[in-house]
Amino acid sequence: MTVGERSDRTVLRDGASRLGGFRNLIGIDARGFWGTRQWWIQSLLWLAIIIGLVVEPLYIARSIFEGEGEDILTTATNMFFTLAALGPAIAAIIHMQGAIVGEKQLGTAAWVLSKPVSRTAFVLSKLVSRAFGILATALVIPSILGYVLLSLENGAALPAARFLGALGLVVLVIVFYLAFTLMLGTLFDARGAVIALPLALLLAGDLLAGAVPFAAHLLPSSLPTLATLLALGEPLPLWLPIVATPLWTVAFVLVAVWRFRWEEF
Amino acid sequence: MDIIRTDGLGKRYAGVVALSDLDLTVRPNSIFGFLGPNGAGKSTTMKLLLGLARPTSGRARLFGLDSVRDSLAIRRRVGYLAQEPRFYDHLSARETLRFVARFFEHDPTRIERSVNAALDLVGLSGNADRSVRGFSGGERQRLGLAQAQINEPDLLILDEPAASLDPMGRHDVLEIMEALKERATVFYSTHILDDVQRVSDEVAILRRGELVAQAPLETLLSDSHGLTFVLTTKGDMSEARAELDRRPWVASIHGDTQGESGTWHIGVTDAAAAEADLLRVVLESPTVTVTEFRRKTFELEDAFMDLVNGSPASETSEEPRSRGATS
Repeated sequence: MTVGERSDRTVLRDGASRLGGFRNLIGIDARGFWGTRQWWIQSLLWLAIIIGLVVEPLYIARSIFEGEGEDILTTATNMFFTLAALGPAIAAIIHMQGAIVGEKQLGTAAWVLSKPVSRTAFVLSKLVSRAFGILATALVIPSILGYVLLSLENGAALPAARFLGALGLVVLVIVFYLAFTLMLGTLFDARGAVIALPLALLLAGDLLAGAVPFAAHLLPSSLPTLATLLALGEPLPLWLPIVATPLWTVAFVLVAVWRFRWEEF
Repeated sequence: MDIIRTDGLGKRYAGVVALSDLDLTVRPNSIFGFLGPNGAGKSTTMKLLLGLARPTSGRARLFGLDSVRDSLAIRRRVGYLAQEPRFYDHLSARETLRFVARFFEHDPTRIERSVNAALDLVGLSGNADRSVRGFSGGERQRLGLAQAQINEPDLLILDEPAASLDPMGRHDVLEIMEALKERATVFYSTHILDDVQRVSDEVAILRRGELVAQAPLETLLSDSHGLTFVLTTKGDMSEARAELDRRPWVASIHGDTQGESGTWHIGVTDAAAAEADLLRVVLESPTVTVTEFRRKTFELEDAFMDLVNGSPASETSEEPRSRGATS
């Protein structure tokens, strides 16, 4: 190393404020979501998909499900939580895949980071704004309607605390995929890998758990089933995914923040 | 204190040297032109100053602060316009400026005042509420300039600020830069040498990642060619030329002749001596009539081409003759 040569390990420091500019960035991201027609398209789309498919065993094809000896409430509840996790998780991946890579490619990331904005704030703002957007539009409204429909089938209101706890597990799944996609956005410069890997994990998670049984304990793929059991007051056969999923999420966010601090424009 | 000071600043990308051992100083309240061909390392230097990239050698200090360690504090005092400015397409020009202003100011009244002043400054008030998505290249450039100065920065770093502007737009940008000089230092890159010559106080020229010159504009223009006087004559110059050859302050004599007429470029080392004696020496020769005598002024393009290509543009166009050669 010559005189004055700087180690490549030098990190671009955020300075005094670790989250400098966070609120402003959240505001502008929210403006991009709530200020356009995106939010109501999302809301209607996921409401139609989730509730439309839950209505099927309850009203449309009830006799078929009963003929197969299934408990309609259990079937409908399981269908609701599976779709409530799967649908918004797909939406989360699609919305998050361009958040970092898109801004790197367009040059808006370099523009924003030429202002007194910390890189940590930039990364976290993408996660927080999208998490709120997806959860509010793709989960909250369908969940209210789903709760009403399932309670009608039950003949009495399902225990609200259990239902909320079950929804909490669904939230863990959605935020897991948001964080995973966010991390990939900081690691790759092309959108292909950023969208393909989380979609593959989401759609093939059950296959993976079948091939490697212990994976079911570490991945969020079993959380919708656990959510169903929790909502119906059944005992939970697994606890590890409930702990592992948020730990993965935190790890993904930490990697994303760390990697982005090294990003050069 | 220098606004910008770099010491041995360098940047390599995967083994390719983008910038090598750059020593640069920029004085306060100057307009500093940063020149060089494409790929010379101008944009890389600007990104290193802003903390958008990390140096692989050396260091840069802005306002006495380290560009890596104190990047956030530096960016509070800097305005930056990228070479191809990009904004969020879903925002209008006014919303874009509000967004930028909020990084520096929290009082809504002050923010609105700054936004309106910035829109006025760059002539975008009439299009303030249009979506940026529909903006032309020139409008984006104007918006870029507006957002760069909205925080009243101590230093403006402008990467090709007049690119993609029509002549009127360029004229406006130069006027804005001159106006901003009152309260800020302007460090800018450009390919438009006429603009540099018009507004810059000091110039640096990069070639293949290396600094080949940094000087006040006037010094650069005179140093690159030395001091040169031009004589246009009629008649036989041989006697006068021999007299000039004997003067210690005469460095070179280049001449072009057509019949009895000739144009002579006389390089000198002492301007005062030349002004006092040069014309007198020539007029003492009875065979020569002087029809024109002036000190040569050089264009920045001459100096730029000399420094970038390593050979004087004037020489290549005038077929140089060595001192003492007959014409």
